[in-house]
Amino acid sequence: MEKTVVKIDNLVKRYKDLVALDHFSLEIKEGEVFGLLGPNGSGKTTTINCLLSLLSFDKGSVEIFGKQMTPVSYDIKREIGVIMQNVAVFDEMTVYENIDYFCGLYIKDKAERKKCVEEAVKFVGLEDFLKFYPKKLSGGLLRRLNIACGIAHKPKLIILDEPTVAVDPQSRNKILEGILDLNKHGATIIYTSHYMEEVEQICTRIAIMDKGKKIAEGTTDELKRMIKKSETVTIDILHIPQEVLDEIGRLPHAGEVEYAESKLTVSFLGGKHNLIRILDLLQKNNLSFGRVYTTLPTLNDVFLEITGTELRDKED
Amino acid sequence: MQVFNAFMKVLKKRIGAAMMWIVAFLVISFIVTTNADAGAMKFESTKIDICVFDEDNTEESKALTEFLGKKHNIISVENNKDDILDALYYGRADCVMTIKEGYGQKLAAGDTEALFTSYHVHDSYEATLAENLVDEYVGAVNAYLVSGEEISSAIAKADKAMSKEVKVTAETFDEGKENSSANDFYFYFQYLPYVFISVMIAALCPVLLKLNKKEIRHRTNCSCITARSQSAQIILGSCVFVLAVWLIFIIAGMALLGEMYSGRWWYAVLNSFMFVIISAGIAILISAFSPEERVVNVIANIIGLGMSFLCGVFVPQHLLGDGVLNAARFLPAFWYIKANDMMSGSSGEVFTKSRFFEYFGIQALFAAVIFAVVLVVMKVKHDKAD
Repeated sequence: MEKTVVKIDNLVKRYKDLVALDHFSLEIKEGEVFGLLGPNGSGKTTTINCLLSLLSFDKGSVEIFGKQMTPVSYDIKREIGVIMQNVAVFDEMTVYENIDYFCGLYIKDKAERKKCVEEAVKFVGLEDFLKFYPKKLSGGLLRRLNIACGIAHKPKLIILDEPTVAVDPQSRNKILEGILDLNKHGATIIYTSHYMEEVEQICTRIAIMDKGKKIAEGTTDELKRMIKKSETVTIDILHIPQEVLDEIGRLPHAGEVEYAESKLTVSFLGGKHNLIRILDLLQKNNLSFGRVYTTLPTLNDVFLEITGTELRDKED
Repeated sequence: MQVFNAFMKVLKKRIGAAMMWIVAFLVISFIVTTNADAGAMKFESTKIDICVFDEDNTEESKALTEFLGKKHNIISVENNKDDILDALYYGRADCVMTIKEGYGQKLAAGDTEALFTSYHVHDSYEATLAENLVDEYVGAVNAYLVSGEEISSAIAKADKAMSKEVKVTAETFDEGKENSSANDFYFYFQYLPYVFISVMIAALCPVLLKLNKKEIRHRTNCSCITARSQSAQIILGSCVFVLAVWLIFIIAGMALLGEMYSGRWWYAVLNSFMFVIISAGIAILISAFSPEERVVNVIANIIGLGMSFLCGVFVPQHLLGDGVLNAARFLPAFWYIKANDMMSGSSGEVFTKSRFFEYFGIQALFAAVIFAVVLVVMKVKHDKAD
């Protein structure tokens, strides 16, 4: 049976009248890449800060590696690597010095530390920038340095709080690959983000948060199965009479039907052979069409259906 | 000692700002102390520019003119009213005196009334000085005549008696031997508050701001280094820096002035040590408010210059108004300067150890208050962040 690495039980955190975490519970198993997904202000960072004892909380408990987490749980902290949302490095130190400094907060032995630092440098691909000062690095390289500083001491649990914010796609992919690699090497990962694609891409299990509450939890497939929407069919078509649109709306499992800018979009709430049914109908009405494609529901759809708002709307 | 090492690395990058203040101060101190030495503690009798018209033209009147020439600078002016007034107006002459006809006869007869007329600027101290000298001379000649001397002998004896140079020595409250060095030390220590505050805010403040930056602090707090160890290492780093800055100034003081501190100047050294602690406290207090780094220099100037002007660093306290001094009492630099003034004797206050320790103690109280406020601010910030 897989060991529980993190157990958050009934956590409540209030800022005066604002409830930042509302009876939030979570269990993360060893070897998981666990995603905390939610819009900005949903409580992801507060959860992480409470988890790390950087913030006190009003109610509940946090256990890591089966032990109660407190600000003085230094034995637990030894096994945790943290990569915060904002880059936390010293501008006055070189890339190597920065990694060495943060690694040195965990590992006293110089020889062991040197080895760890070199491995971390190699892992994030900063070998050519060792003597560079952070101000000379691009945004992507800076993020990689930030990650190296958090993982150099080889933690068993790595917490990444939105590590790809303001990062170019190339660096983002590199970071995501790196996270999966860390997981392959045995680390349990907690990954918070408001980018659903990223979470979908790397996380084995996801908890969706909104207004300090966990609104859904499971694997990507499990989450998608929670909602009615099964697929969306989009067809490029120059003209479509209203009566045909009405007929499409009456097809089995058909949900919302939209026609705008020569694009017909039909959402289906479950059912099979939806695409064939809709194409048959168009042919029967002698309507010619261009490109046809279907999209499966995204985590945004899950969020939309559960909360009534879109993830992306909230980000803005 | 990771945090301590980080402290030093960050400090290394900021040391340029501190060095700028240190070097500028030492150069200015050198210039100020050198100039102060040249004039402040030496006596030189004043010579005024005097024009003499001799209408009597006798041996007696010529002897008087010659006597005046020994004491002052004799200048020539055309003997008409316009030229005389011009000379006085433009400051070429301080006094224009006419020895009236019959001066010799009157003097020999013991009549000292209405021997001269003079032109001078109203209420001019130079003219008073010249008139007093002439009156003294005439009085002396008359005294010799009364005592039975011939006129020529009386004039010669009066001239001799009044030509003697008066030996003047300047005394200070310093116990040591050299008065000039006392003055140099006074100037050197006088300006230290400004430079201490500036150096601490310019160098220590940014280092603390960096180490206490939210992201860095969070990352450090997530590590297995204890909070106590973190704080201890930051305090150690600050102490090393503060001590180094203080020692630089104390050693540079000796090097600059070319001698060892002696007597009560050791109290000045102690006084400066207390003030460097206060300056560090001010820098720590500012950093506790987490201002933007670019604002730090502005704050350094406001506090450094403001406190220095109010408390008598740049302008002696005895020249400051009562209102300013009353307000300055609530600032530590005021008590530093008061102690320094007392040591040099420039304030007229006699140095006593008990009085020194009174001023020193008040500064220590300021330091304690500043550090207490730092703790309160940090606690409030911590609670707020929670």
